[in-house]
Amino acid sequence: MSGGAPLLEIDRLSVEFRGRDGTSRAVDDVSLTLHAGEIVAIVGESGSGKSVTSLAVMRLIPDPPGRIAAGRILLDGIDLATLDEAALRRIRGKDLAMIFQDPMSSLNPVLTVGRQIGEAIRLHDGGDDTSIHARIIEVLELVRIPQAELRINQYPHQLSGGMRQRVMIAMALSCGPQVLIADEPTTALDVTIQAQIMALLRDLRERLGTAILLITHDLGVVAENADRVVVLYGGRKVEEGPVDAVIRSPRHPYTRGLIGSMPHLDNELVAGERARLTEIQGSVPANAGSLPGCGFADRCELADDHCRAVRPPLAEVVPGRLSACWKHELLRETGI
Amino acid sequence: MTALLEVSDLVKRFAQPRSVIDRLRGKEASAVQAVSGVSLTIGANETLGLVGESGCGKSTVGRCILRLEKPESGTIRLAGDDISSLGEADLRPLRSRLQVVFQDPFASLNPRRTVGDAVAEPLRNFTGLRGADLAAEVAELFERVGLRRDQIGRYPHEFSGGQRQRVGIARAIGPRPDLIILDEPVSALDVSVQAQVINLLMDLQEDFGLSYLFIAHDLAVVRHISQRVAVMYLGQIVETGPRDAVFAHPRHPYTASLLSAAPILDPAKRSAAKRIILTGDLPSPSNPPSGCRFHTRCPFVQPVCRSTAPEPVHTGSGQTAACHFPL
Repeated sequence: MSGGAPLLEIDRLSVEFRGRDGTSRAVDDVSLTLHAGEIVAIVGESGSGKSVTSLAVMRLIPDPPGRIAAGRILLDGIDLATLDEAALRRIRGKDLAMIFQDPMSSLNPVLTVGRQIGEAIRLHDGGDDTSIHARIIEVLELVRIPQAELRINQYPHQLSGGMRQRVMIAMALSCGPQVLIADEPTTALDVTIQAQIMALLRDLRERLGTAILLITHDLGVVAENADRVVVLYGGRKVEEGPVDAVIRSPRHPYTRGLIGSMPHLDNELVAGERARLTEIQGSVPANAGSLPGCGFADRCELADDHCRAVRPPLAEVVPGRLSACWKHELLRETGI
Repeated sequence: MTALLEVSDLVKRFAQPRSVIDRLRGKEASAVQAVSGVSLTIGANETLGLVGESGCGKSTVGRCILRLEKPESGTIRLAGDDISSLGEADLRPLRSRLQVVFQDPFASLNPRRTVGDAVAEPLRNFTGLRGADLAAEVAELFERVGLRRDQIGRYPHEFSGGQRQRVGIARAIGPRPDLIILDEPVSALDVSVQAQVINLLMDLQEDFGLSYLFIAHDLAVVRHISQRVAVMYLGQIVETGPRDAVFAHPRHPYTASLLSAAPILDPAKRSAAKRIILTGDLPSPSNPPSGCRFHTRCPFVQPVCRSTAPEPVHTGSGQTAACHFPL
């Protein structure tokens, strides 16, 4: 972890959505920090609040029905949570950029790739057509798109899935953001293309010092690419720590369950036999966030009445590692 | 040994739509060859994992075996009988022996019918069960796949993704098939739920003596459930063999690169040196590369690979690889 002030600091963020059945909290009291040149992963299953967190940072939560109910989002000291739309427009795409899961639905099908990348440059940095053109070519080459001069005039449908995702990344990088939010950047891609894109993101971090907030459900991607990981469950942070330490010895039963239930290529299998995967019983309850006790208690084999009645605080269990579990001591010696 | 399913030299083409102008000019319709000469066998009570990236034709193989598509050429033998050219009427009795579970359980359930109805339908079609017996069998199936009896009268939207996939599985095992084609059955599910469904599939296989064709893009999932593996690239099988052999010593460079691209959890087992990151994208199946179809992306390509298509060769321990220079 690098010293100094963090580039991005999410401080006790809560996001609520109003519906017919009352208000539900999608993100509840989540804090995290991101330093320059760092890759921090937010991992969780559907409904964990990981995407809502990233949208809140971009201030893209549709209001109504959603709203940031509490907390601050500090980017270089400026609180994004309170900025007005005009001020946000100056920051979005400039200091803070985002890439989305599905490049096909996030690119405009009737505009050329060059036009779409040029839009942010024109808006934030300005310049004449020649300098904008040169900058577009530069970012296309930055994300290693071959034949940039040809691609600049092509439409999204003429590109493969991996190429489209590179265009998305080029667009995000066009104005040299300090912070890049990558929401499931490789989920829609094949494994060989996924490896290319993640290598590209790591490389950009090295070359440009961009801080990356990586949102994913895939612990394998986290393990290989992130420095620190934040595990969300039911809208709350349940564990945080350096990636290798968390994966080697998780200190929250949910993290342990996620690792155990994930088929991965490096777990031991007996030759000729098939191995059962460790299951997490049940599924994420819709009301995990509003339960009085631990949101994971219903699915946890360690849970007792105390867990169901009193919410466990997020506590530092080892220096640099947080866990929200009353029983974290029991997990100390169990690895994968 | 006679295999339960024996597919040989399966070919499936899809005609590409022509524009009006091309039609008026009398231009020939071009075709995409989705499957180009695939052969595979599945034994009784065995799981064959069919792996490949999107667009490689793995789902089309499954659909041809189910005879949801009519193959261009090649034979598909189920317990010895050639089913590749049967007509609709002759296919009907076959449907009870061959079942399918699709990726998206919501899209494959009728939203206006109860899930109990969905599970009862194949039973009504293929068994003599009626009335109370039918209801009892449906209840039995629900319990077998881990759903509750009181959920029989509910509608698909009331279920989570994992539960819907359980409904799909109950429907597939109802007519007591010999073979189930599982087309990406867990890729739409959350990790924790995915494990539940994989374990359920393995249990059912033992209880009912089922054979599976498990189609997936995720190598780690395939490794858990399969006894044998077949790897597809651009419409062809490039490598087959017993699971342990293929995963421990892949012989085809494509298999090796797929394996090395998959993320490894344990930092101690990770070594950056062994990693092969493929460059470029999957070529278009409508215009596959000459010679070995993998040569445009292969890190070990030689001149002969560009001109001559390699035949599958036995490389020991039951493995075959279609490569001039197996690893």
